[in-house]
Amino acid sequence: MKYKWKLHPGDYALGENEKFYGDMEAKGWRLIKRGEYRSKFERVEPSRTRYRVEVAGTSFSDGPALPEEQIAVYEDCGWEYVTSRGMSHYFRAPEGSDAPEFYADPRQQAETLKGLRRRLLVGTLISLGLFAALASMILTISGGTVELTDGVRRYWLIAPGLVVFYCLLLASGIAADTIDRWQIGRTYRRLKQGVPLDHAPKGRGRVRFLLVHGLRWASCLFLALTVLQLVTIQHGPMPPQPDGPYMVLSDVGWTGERTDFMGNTSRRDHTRTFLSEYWDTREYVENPGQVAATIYQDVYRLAPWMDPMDWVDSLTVKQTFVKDLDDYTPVEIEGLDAAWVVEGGMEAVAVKGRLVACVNYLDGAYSTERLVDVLDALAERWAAYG
Amino acid sequence: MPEQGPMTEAMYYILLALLKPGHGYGMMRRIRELSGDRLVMGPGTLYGGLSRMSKDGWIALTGEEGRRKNYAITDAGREALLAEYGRLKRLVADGTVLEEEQG
Repeated sequence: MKYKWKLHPGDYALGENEKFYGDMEAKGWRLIKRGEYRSKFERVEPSRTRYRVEVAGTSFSDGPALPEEQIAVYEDCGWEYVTSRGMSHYFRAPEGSDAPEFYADPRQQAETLKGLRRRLLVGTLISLGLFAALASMILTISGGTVELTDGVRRYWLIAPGLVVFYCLLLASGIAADTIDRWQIGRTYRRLKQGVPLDHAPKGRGRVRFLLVHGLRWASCLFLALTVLQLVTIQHGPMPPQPDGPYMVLSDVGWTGERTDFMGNTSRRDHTRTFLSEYWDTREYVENPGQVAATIYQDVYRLAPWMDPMDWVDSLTVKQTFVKDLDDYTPVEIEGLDAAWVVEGGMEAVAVKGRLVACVNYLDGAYSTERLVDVLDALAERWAAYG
Repeated sequence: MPEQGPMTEAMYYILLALLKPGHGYGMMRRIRELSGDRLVMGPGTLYGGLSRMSKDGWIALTGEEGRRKNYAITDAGREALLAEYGRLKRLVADGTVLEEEQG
């Protein structure tokens, strides 16, 4: 026996599905099973066949199955029960047979769509509720809409694939929900007005398929790109001398042994995207007889067409305590285009050319002068880096 | 008891058919006979009508033969059918003015 799978119209395009299966049978492919996206057909002699969809669950509390008794009545009338998917059930009868149409009055058929419409509405409300809960959770964690926007902008620089993936996934969900509700709503209103269901409409519900699945496939592509980026990130221990536009603690006089800090070791990660090259470093050094020093650096080299001054106030979002550039004090540092420090704090920010650095320096002193020393050392490194 | 509104044609004929207890397909054939082939009731319409009238207590399940269920009209259903029949008779009686006008 020869079998074939073929993409079918969306679940809520009732007439389109009826025509699709009738056309397939006329070509010698008989429906045996409906999957999520594709239907399975078996090879038969071509014949003219009527297919009809019945929607189960006229009230919200009903399940998706069609009652056995209802199927028995339909079969007694000459309809063959073929298969189902969700709340949609598929029947067929030879063209020209005396199997009567399910409904003589479209208004009666409209009643069968009420349960489905309610379910779709509840589904939408649950999705919106979950989205609102998730959004408020993210806003709480990130500290507000400004921080959230800055966080997204930062991720756009270092992992644009991830941002595009989320946006496309969200868009596909919204598109699917909107089209399904619009499609079934339009069918319901027409039936309610007494317009019979069109069993042979033009088109095959391709718009929904192309839009929703196009967005989903595109989101998968960007997820794959993000995974590819993740596996190509260079993780490694902090090299003795920098291999990028960042500094090491020995540049500011910490020449002791590198040590662990709260279970972390000194390390350097490096990745690049079409928008930026990014170094993320953590270094811990302990000089004999002194407290340990710590430096965290997030250094970005932006694409040539990007202006670092447009981005610097978003990139400070990852700083430990002071995340808003307005809370920093500008300082003049030779060799830097712009620089800021948190007075009596541990954060500093520097910009030169296409480079942006967000630095957290901690040696227990919380001294503005030491932060200026750190920025001077960074300026020297950047001068050497070119 | 609130005044009963007009019945749909489908409900009226299903109740008429169930004056003799029967199952779905039997009812469809009987409805066709009763209406002199004028009304071919779709299985969806029939099943929808049975569900609704069963909930309203106008018909009741009397037994099962495999997947088929047998129904019969209840006293409440009979009352409703009689009320509808009376209403339709009055409509027809009121319409006699049309015949008089046409001579």
